[in-house]
Amino acid sequence: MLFRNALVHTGTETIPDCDIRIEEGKIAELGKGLEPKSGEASVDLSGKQVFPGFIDAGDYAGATDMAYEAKDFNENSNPVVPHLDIWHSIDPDELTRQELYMSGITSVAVSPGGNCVLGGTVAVVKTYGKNLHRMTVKRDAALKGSVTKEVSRVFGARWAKTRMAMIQLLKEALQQGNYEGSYRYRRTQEVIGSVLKGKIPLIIEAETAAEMESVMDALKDLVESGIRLAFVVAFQADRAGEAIKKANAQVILGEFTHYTSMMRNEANFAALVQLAKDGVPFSIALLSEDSICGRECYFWTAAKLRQGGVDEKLLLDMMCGNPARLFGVDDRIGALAPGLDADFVIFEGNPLTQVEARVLETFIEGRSVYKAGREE
Amino acid sequence: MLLLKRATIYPQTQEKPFLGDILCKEGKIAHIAETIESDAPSLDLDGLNVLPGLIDCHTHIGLHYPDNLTALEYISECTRPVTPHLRIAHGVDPGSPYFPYAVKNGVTTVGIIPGSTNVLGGIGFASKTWGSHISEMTIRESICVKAALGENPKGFYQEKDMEPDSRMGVTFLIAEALHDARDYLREKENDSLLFKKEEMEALIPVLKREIPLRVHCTHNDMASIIEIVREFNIKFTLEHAWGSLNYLDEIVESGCAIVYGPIGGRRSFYESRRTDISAVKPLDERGVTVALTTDAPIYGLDGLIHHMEEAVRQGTPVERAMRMITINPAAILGVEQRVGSIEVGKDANFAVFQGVPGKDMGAHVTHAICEGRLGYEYAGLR
Repeated sequence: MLFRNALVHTGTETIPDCDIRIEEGKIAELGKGLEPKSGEASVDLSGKQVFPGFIDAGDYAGATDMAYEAKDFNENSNPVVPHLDIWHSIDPDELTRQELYMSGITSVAVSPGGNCVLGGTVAVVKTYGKNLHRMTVKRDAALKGSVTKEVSRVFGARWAKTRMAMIQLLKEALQQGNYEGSYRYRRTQEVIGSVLKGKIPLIIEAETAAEMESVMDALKDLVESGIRLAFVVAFQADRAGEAIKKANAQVILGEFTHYTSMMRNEANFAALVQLAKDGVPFSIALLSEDSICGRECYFWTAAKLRQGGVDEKLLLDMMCGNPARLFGVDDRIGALAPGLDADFVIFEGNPLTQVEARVLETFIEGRSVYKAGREE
Repeated sequence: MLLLKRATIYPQTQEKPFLGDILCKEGKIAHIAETIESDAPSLDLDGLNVLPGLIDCHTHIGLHYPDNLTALEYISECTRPVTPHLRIAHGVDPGSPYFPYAVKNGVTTVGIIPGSTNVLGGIGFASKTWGSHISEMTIRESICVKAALGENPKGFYQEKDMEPDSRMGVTFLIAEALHDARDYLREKENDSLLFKKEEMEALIPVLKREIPLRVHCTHNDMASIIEIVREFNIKFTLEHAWGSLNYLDEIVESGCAIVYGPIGGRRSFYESRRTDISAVKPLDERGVTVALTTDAPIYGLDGLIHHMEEAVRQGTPVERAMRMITINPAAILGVEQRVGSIEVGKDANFAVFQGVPGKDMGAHVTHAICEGRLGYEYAGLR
């Protein structure tokens, strides 16, 4: 299938009058002046803009149900469960029902919730489908933990009431050599080993600057030896900015508008954007303190980053390229280039600059999963 | 006195946006013209866009202890389901940090109304978002009686083993209160009243069409309330109104107003399962007065702009969406003579934007002007 004459934002450059050839769910060719092969369908996209499918870098959509009763994203029996794999908790129907693809989000990093100090591994999956195998981009894409008050709320009676105890649990869990013998420990060793070797990032849910700083302080030896740290939700990342830069850590911004709190009200987007301009890689997530939000909020956070002065290029990188690199899936998603998955969104207008820009059609692996006005 | 210079003015009247100056005097808009000469201190708004102060007509702000903005301690009287006579104004703390937060986001007028635990929750009021005393913040003392259908009253009183325990139980309580109040009013007018009842007195202004019954309802609950109030010929609004797309004809025919939102939650069952903010476009086109709400503090008032943006993203023209956070909610509060548009004689409340809200991604408030005084100025990098 050939898409012709669109203004294509590849993730690194913007090409006018650009054509994209899709074959077997992948981008086969991308550039100017491609001619249809015999028998190949072609669609004219003159006046339209094409973006890579966006990535929601933290969510537990699919790991619970619409009634919010399944709640398979937290294993509340123990605060340290790095051996668990969120992939086993994902229900593709429930994930699809969140309609993320209608806002142009084609991949999501489904993550354990914020209850456990180490809650399990993250899976990157597509946002539409019925078969989890086919939707999966990568399992064990990161290890997810938390040092928020949720840990204290859930495990305060027996394990960790204070942040100092959470940090201690985190440090102990990351000690190499603690794990041998049974399958449980071999699996733990495998996950922790990947973190320690810098193969996968360690993503810690933290809201305040103090939470982030205490983690970086406790793990500074590990950071020096090359573990890759990212903070998710991270409302006050700017206030921990110096430490974040020093630790080469990343920021996955959570959602700011759902439920009011002083912490969110006082978020400083100009300072957050400055931190990103200083080179700290940012991504955008629908995760928030003890909740996840609807697809609309993805662009609300983008709007707030624009309020803070982010330029188009950096914003698009936060939505596509950077999260793909963070989770080690940039060989599949996060940009438009030959060989990558044909996950893309056709827009009328430019959603990075214009509120009025509308999703016309969303494609995942070359298949139209949403078209404006089509009865689903 | 304050002179706003070289502003691009979005008046929210029938007039199109224009370049001009605005003179504020004694808290009111004294003069609007292409250029105004005056000795008043002036604020150069060259390149910026001026809207009337924004309005969210459905909030529950100031009803919590100051250290816990999300808690809603004083929002619903949960001891019995029918309390139409209670005044929410008596639960509000002017010292709440939520008020300056509203100003910072350009919101200068709010409707503060009781929550939805009670079937009839009490009387709401229209408030400024600054001031030291509720009396001086109040713009209109009684703006509505708040009612609620569906999961909130049902779920709460079910747990307490009290009536109502079902949707049919909830709707019956509303019908009962309206019928009883009508009987009460007849007796009162015939001078045959034996005892004054505050609960019934509170509903008289509703029966006389002086204030609306504002009803939390969604989906088929909207159909229910439209049926119940039909014979009373009262003013009413549908609050939240998720699922409106399925009831467009009934809504238009009933003559009610719509307060749509909040949106932004994950998709779930129950009342918010259809997040159809695209419905505000056909409703508006067919003459329904539509306002958007964040339900603050359920969603932050920073989200009022995002709600308006989302309405635009899903089809509503920008100039119509702007009215849904300015003059339309003013009309629903019954204070449209005083706020909600930029016209001589109205309160000098303005939200000044860098960028056009609803058009430019990242449009944000640079100044909030509250009765002719600078209430907030964007400082950029802190």
